[in-house]
Amino acid sequence: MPHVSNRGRTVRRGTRRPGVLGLALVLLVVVALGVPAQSLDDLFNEPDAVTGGDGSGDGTTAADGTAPAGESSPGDDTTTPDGESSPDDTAAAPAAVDIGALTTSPTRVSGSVSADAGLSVGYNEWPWSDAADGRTPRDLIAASAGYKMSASVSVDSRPQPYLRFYTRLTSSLSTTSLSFGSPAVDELFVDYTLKDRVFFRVGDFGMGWGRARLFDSPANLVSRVGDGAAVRASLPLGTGSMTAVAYTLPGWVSTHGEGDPRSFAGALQVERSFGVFSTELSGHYQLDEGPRAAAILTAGVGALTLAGETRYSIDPDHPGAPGRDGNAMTAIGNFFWENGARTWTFWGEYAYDHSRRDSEVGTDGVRRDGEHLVGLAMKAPSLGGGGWRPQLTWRHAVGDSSGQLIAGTSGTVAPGLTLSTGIPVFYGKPGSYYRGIAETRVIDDDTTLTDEESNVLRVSGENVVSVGFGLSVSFSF
Amino acid sequence: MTYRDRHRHRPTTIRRGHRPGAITALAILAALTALPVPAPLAAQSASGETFTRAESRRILSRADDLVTYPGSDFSAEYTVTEVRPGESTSRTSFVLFRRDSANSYTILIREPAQDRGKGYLRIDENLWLYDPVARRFTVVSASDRFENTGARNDDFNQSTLAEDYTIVGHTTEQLGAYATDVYDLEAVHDDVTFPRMRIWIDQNDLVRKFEDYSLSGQHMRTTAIPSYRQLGDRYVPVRIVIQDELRGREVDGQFRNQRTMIEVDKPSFQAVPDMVFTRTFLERVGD
Repeated sequence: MPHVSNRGRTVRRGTRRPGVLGLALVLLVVVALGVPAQSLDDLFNEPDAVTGGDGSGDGTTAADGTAPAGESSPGDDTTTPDGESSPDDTAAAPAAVDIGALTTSPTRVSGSVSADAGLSVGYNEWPWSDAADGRTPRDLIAASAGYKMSASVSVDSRPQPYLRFYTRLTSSLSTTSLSFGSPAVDELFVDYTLKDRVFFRVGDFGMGWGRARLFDSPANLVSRVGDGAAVRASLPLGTGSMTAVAYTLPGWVSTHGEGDPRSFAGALQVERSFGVFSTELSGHYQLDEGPRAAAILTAGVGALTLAGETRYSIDPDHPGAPGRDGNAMTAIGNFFWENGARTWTFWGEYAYDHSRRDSEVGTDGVRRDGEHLVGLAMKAPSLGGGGWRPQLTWRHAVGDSSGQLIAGTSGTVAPGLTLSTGIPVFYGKPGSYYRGIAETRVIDDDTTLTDEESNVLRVSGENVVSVGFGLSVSFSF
Repeated sequence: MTYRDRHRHRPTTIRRGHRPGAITALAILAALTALPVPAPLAAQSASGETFTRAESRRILSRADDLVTYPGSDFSAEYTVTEVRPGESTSRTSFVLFRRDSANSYTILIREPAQDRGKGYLRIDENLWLYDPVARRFTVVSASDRFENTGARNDDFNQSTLAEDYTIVGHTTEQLGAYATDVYDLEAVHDDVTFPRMRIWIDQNDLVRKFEDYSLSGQHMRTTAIPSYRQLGDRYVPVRIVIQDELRGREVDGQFRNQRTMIEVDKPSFQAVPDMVFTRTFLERVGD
């Protein structure tokens, strides 16, 4: 979840400089700010010893006489943020931020382990509805349970500012064989930055473009990059940047063979900001699929963010034909609002995709119609400690009047132990857009939900309404 | 002696030839929020002085110019300590890169550990927040609180007092060791965080203190800048204390305001690579 929160953060010492200096800073702050209710005006009782130096590092000293009346001259002692004394700030070239150090670090091995279990009880059909077919509410009750366990290990090595290697291996417990499979390589890539100008990433890695929050992002032309191998290059371009990616997928290679041009695809994106607007224009080409183009426009107006994106695909087999078997246009528009304290969050989205509408009525007499989708979601402030932020998400298919409503929250009940609870409700005729996919895509791909909430919802199976609980224990090292 | 008389004869020694720069790490709250405030063409102060828009611009520009750096990039390490009376004290450290000529900045969070890799990128009026866990950029508001502290995201942008405010009142006051001119300001457009301000400017045109007010006159926060660092002919605020006038707690029978202390280390005007001001850089560092 993209939300920012520092709640519960405690003072950390000695990360930037070990131990003593960090402690000194904390003590300095406590004394300076603190405990006695000192007036801010008291901070000006002693004149500021404006320290001199030259930001370019050539040792230029401060101009004579620039210090405010009553101040000591440049070069006099002053107190640094670390509480240390600088003997002569004007003589030594001042230290600058080392950008290279930000992108350099020793090889780090880290990992995480998580185990989840969930239980759900609910109705598998709405009582007294036609679909209930005369069954009593008791007969309609269904319970289900599920569990999941996985572990991952990652290695991150940044030996030089321009070089990085990263990989992450994951293994999960199979619920059928009850054994852990061989670790799979989730990601493995090498970064290389050429002269601080062009950034390359080569290997197996994920990418994502687009601004959608509740539905699939039509402008995400690179959603399949993570399924294969790719080369990405990014560079600054004016007040924005340009990214190009070339990739191949196992399916293309098996169909066309290695080295065949049809086994590859390329995509390009140019993004730029002006005023309150940000634009992203992108294109994608693969010989069999034909060209695709997409555009994203984002505008921030105070605390409100508005975004729209569209994709146009040209089908080479049906040139010029609009609709499902030809050229197609998909689009979304959304809003996102968060108050200044980031306690209340609201967002909504409309999505259009003609391909989501079945061309014919199914055997159940229902035409699945997800051509027009609308959704709204909100997050409320935390309830007490533990980060319990209730969330409500509603999605609705206009064409067949089906939808889902999910109320859920999760929070920490003990160190490393998270409890999730949720009430998913699905409505509409059986076979309709949301009743048909409720137990699969919508839950698994719902990026608006935490993993814990998804776990609870997943075990709700095909129930139309459930109450689900899940426990998750996890830790990282 | 009026303000202008005094100022005309003041032996100011601060050079202002270049189009000065800005870093107010606490860039004197340049922007956002707010409701429309009428922009008077001329206003009369308590002392009887009136200020035209042009005079306001001239006075406020001097303060802006000392802490704005359009001719070079700026970078520094920041430590933000949030003191909540009766509660825990939190600390956030980050690196700031600023390019005033492009109205851009990049912030990389270094501490606390759980937020390491998170970053902000401002380009023009767009402010992006990068979440390394979700690997996702979201647009955030410049007027939002920075990392849940008393600072606002826009506090790290360049100072634009002259552009955003006009002077509607003026007095003088001794602020500790400083003789200061105190100006009451009103916003001239909606895109500011606080529609009214009162600022204390010392004899060298350095802003030493300011108070932020809502349109209704509610005192929102007070900011003190007790320490500057001079780099060449430019100034960098290196110690800033923000007092939230609305948040706090009673401790030992006395109300204590929530305070935010910002310390700035390693300020520099060395050139920063263009790539630092791209979303790619945040992905590269934060992944």
